[in-house]
Amino acid sequence: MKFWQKTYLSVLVVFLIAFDLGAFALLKKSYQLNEQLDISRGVSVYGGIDKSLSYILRVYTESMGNTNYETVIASFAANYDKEDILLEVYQGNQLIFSNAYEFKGERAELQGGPYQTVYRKMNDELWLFIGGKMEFRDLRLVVSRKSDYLQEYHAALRHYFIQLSVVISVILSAALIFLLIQLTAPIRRLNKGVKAIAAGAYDQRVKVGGNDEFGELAHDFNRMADAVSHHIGTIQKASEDKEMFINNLTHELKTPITAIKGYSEFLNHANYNEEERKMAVRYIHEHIARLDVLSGKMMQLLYLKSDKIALKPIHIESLFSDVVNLERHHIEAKQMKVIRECLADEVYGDQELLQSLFMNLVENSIKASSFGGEIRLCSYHDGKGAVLEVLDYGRGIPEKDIANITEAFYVVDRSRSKELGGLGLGLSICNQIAQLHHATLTIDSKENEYTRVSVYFTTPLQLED
Amino acid sequence: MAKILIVDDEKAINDLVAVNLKMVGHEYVQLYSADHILQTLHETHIDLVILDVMLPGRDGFDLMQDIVKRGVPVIFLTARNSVSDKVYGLEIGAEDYIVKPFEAVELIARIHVVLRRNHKAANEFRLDDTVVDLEKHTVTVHGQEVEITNKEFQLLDLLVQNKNIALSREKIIEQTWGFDFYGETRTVDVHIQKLRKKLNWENRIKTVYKYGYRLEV
Repeated sequence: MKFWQKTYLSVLVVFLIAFDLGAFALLKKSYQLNEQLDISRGVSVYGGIDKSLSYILRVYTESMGNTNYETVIASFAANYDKEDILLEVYQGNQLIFSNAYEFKGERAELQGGPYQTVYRKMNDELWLFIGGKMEFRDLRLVVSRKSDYLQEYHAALRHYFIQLSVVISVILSAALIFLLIQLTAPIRRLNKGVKAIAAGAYDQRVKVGGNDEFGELAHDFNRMADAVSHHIGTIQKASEDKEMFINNLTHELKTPITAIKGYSEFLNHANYNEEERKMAVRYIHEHIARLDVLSGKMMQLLYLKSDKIALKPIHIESLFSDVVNLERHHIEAKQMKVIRECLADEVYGDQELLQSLFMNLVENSIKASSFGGEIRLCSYHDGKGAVLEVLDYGRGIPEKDIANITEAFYVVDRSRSKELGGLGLGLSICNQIAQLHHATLTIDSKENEYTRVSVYFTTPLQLED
Repeated sequence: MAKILIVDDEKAINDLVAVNLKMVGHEYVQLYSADHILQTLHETHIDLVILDVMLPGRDGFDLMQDIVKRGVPVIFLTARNSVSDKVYGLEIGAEDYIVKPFEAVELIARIHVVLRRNHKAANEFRLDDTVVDLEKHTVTVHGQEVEITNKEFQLLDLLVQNKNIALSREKIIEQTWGFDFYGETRTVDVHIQKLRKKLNWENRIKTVYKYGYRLEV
């Protein structure tokens, strides 16, 4: 059962009960009032009859000296018979005249003082009996008068009230339903929105205005939906990234495996010449080296993802000199010039990981630079902590690629990267190492001018340690 | 034989496909990116494209429509081995979908199937004085027709398709008799002996020690 239906039914039931109770009380009261009016009219009729009859009887007895009243009363009563007014006259307990209904039972109107009134049902008709002592001698008079109109009036009124309650119910129903449907429209809109969102349309929002509870609920619900869609977005992004990573990794693994497998099979079974043999062997060798590099880098990445490290004070000057020393073959091969400038002395971290980070950066710089180029390794304080930088004046990174360059397997120029043996994992590893140190890695570059990679060891966490 | 366009940005893989095609006598054109595919299709008559999916710039799935429009059959050769990729590749009109790493024999067999289906396979093979009609399933030596059984012809077809490449006895059984053949590898030797005699190819069908046979051209 819907909310509006419940509300409608309860309001209708409450109204009908209240209306009927009111109508009942009203009917009862009006009946009482009518009864009183009827009685007072009856009493005045009784008074009139009493006076006239007493007078006639007194005159009759004085002139005739006769006590046989019956004929006198009968002729007198005949006048009233037409008006449905019937008379009984008693002398003591003796009935001396009656044209009324005869019945057995208590006659309350025959007891007591001036007069008594009793309503009785005779043959399904309502009669008012009024009895009392007459002014004449000690006769008792009972006047009975048909009061059926009371009941007819009552029935008519009740009928009228029933009709009224039906009409009012119909009007009330229509008004209620209209109002309730109007009032519950926001609920239905909310419901529709919720269903849509539940079905997966996370970008949908509920359109319910107003400052009432519904508006508030809709507003809160929309906030919840925002949070949900934000989380869903994050999860989707993560899973897309993961899929991308796996696709790339698959590609990077499958390629050398395909080459090695294919060329070894070729050497085994084909009818090759010397030139083809050399090519096959060269490719096998090349791709085993590539697999070797890939497996090393992957191990490093996985290791970095899983580990927490102990941070020790590292002397920056010696860190830089170690890196340059380890990279000296590459540096000499391209006759590069390395300039070191240490304004900050210490940083907290893991010696080996930091070496690996700066070796990666220096290798990138060497690859990017032309023959005889220059690389700068600097460190300085920026007020909060140490910043270490690697700067070169090589080919730089296109602006559109800077945002994604730290993603695993992201390469700016695939064919060129392959020539240089790049897999697109170097910067991803650097980023991971920086994160382990609670440091941030930022890249600033202009194509064909320079690339500056800065590692900021300035987060509160890093400073805490 | 057919002229086949190889598109793969990995030089090693590209050369690997090329060297295998060369062995069996196909001609080929090598491309390392998506850039000049349409131009190449326009300038040269290409019978078949072997296409990598992950190419720099546009991916192979993207290129598909333009190639199919020209009525050139395509075989995908890719590291992407998910079923959904396979289904998608075939849905958009590829003739076949081969996952890396691949076996040379497999690649050549599947190329051959596609060429045949598109009526681009050669229907005649000549070597010395022997002519094999691959369509009519007949063989003539010095112009004389030679009696040849159905199985022998299947074996001959397999050798011709993989000329210069050694076929293991197991491979020969699988391709000629099917997976459910429980006979011995001796059966292969017997059939090879018969072919050598009938076609006068004693020096052409070489035994590869402890492995199988190779038709040398």
